[in-house]
Amino acid sequence: MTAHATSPFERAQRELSALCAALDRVIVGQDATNRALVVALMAGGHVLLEGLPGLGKTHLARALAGLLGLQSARVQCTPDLMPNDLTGSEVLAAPGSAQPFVFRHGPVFAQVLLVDEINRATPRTQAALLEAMQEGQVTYAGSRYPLPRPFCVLATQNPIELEGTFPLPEAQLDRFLYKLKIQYPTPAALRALLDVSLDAEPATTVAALLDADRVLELMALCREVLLTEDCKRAAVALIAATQPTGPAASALATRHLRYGASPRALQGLVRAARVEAVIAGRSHIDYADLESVALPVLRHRVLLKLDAELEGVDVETLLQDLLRQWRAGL
Amino acid sequence: MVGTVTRPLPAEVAALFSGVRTRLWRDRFLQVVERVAWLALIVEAVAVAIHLSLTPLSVTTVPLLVLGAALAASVATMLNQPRPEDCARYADSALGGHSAYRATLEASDGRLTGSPLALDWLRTQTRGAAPIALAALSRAPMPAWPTASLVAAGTGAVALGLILSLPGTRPNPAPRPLTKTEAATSTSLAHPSAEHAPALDGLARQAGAASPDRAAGRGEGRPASDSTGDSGAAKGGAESAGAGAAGGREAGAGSDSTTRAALSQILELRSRRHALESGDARAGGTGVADFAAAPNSVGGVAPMVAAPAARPSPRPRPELAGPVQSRLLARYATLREAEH
Repeated sequence: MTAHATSPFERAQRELSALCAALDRVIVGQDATNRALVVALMAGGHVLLEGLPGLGKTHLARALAGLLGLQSARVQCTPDLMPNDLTGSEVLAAPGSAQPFVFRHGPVFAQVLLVDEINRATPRTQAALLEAMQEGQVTYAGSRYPLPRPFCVLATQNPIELEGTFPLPEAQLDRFLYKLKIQYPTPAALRALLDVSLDAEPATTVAALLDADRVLELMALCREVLLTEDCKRAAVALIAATQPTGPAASALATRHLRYGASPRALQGLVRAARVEAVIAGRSHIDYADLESVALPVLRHRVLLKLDAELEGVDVETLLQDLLRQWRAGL
Repeated sequence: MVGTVTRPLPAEVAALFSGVRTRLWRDRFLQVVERVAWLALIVEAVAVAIHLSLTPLSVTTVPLLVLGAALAASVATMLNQPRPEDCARYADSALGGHSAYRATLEASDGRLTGSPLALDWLRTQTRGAAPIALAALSRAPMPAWPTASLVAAGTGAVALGLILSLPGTRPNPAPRPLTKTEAATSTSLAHPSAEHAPALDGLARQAGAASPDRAAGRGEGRPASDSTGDSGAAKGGAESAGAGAAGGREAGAGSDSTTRAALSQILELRSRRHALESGDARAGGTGVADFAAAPNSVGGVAPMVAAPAARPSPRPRPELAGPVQSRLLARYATLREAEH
C-alpha cells in the first residue's frame, strides 16, 4: 500500500473521506446528506435541499464552505427580492475614478451560495439565478462577469407552507444536479447533537481541510475517472427506462410517468458517479456508483402523471422500483 | 491526458482469468449435464407414451437418442469456452472486482479511453487484487453435480427399459366395421338358414368321413398357411385349405372330391368370418387348420364358431382384407349357386 501512496486517486480518496467525516462531526445524523453534498460539489453541480425548518440546512452549507476553505454567502429569498439583489448592480463610482459607474458584486459571486427558500423568490429572480448556475457568469448591462470557481449553489425549499410561493419550473429544477431530502435525525443522532451544538455553532469555527485550488484539482481528477462500455450502457439504460415515450421505457415509466429524465440527467449521473468512485478509491466507475447517485439525480427530473398522483404513487418508490429492475437487468 | 492506451493484461489478472475460465467451464458443463438429464427424462416419458399408445419402440432407440444429445451438448460446451469478457464479468460480480477487471480488459484491448493516471491506478489496483480474488476463487465451493436430475433420468431410463422390453403392450386396433354385403354373408354363415342347414350338415358329415384325406391335405397346406408377409403369401394362406383338399382328392375317392373342396371352402369362409368379427383381416388358413386338428369339432357348427374366439388374436394384416374377402365372397356365391 505504501508503494501506491503517491497515487493522486488514493490521496483524493483520503481527502474526500476526511471531508465527509468532518462534515459528519459538525452536522450530526445526516451522514448520507453530507456525503451527497460533497459529491455534488466535486462534480461541479448544484444542490436543491428540501426539508422542514430546523433540520440544519443553512448550517450544513456553512460547514461545507468552511471545511473547503471557500467563500460563502447566504440569500434569504422573499417575493420582493430583485435580480439585482442577487447578481449585483452598478453604482456610482468614487469621485475621480475613470468610470462613472462601477459594478458592485452581489452575493452570487461567492463560491458556495446558500439560497434559502428559493421558491419564495419571484420567477424573475429565479431566472437570474438560473443563468449564474448554468453559465457560471452574470451579465449586467451588456457586460459579463464570471463567477469564481468553484461555484456551488445550495438552494433550500420548504415542502410545507406553499402559500405565496413560486414553485420552480421543470427547466430550472433540471439545473440542479441533486435534490436532497433532509430527514429527521435518529434519536441517537439527536442525543449526539446536544453534545456538539447546544451552545455553539461549530459550522462557523471549523478548520478548513482544503482550499479552492485543491478543490479544483480534485474536481479535475474526478473528471479523469474511467468509464467502461458496460457502465456507459448501464447509465444510458437507466435514463432511457425513465422516459415514458422512449423505445427503452420501462413499464413503470410508461404507466406512471409523464416526463422522464433528460440527457442532462445522464451527464449528471455519470459526473456524480465519478466522484463516488474516487471516494471509494477507484479510478473507474462501477454499477454501484451509478446506483448510489441515481435517486438524488433523478427524483426531481421525472414527472408523475396526474393519474399516478391521484393513485398515491410516490416518485421515490417508483424510482426505487425502476432501480431494482435496472439492477436485475445488468 | 485523455487518449487510447493499449497495454497487455497484467500477469496476475491473466492468471485470475484462467482460474475463472476453468470455473465457468465447469459450471457450464454441469448446467448442460443437468439440462440433458431433465431432457432425457422428458424423452423417456414421451417414449413410454409412444410405445404404449402408438407404435412399439426398440429398446436401444431411446438411450441412443439421449446419449447422442448428451454427447452433442457436451461437445458444444467444450468448444464454447468462456470468453475473457465472461471471466471479467464473473470476477467483477462474484469476486469483488467492482468493474475493475472489465475496465482492465477494455484497457488492454484499447477500447477504454482515459488518462494514463487513471489507467495506471486501475492497473495497480487490479494487480494487487487479482491474487486475493484468485485465492477467494479457490476457496469458493465447487458447484455440485446435479444429482437430482441425474437420479431422475436414471430411474426413468430403467423404467423405460423395462416397459420397452415387455411384450404385447400394444392394444389391438379397433375392428373395421363390416360392409352390408359382408355382414349379410357372415350372418348366413354363422346362422345357416333352415333351407341351407341340411346341405351344410351333409357336407360336414362328408368331411368328417374324409378326415384322413383332409389331414393329408392339411399337411400339404400348412406351409402355405404359415407363410405370411405379402399378399401372395396371404393368398396362399387363403387357398391353403383348397390345396389341402386337392391333395386329399388325389389320395381319396374321386367321387366326393368336389364336395370336400366345397366343404373346405365353407370352413375357410366361416373361419374368415370370425377373423373379420375379431378385427382380424388375415385369410383363414390357420383357422381351417386348427379346426381340422380339433377331433370333436368335425361335423358340428357350434365348436366351429367358438374355436377362433378362444384363440389368441392373430397379428392383423389389414392390407390383405379387401382382395381376400372379395375372393372368398365370390367363391361362396359360386357354392351357393351350385347348392341351389
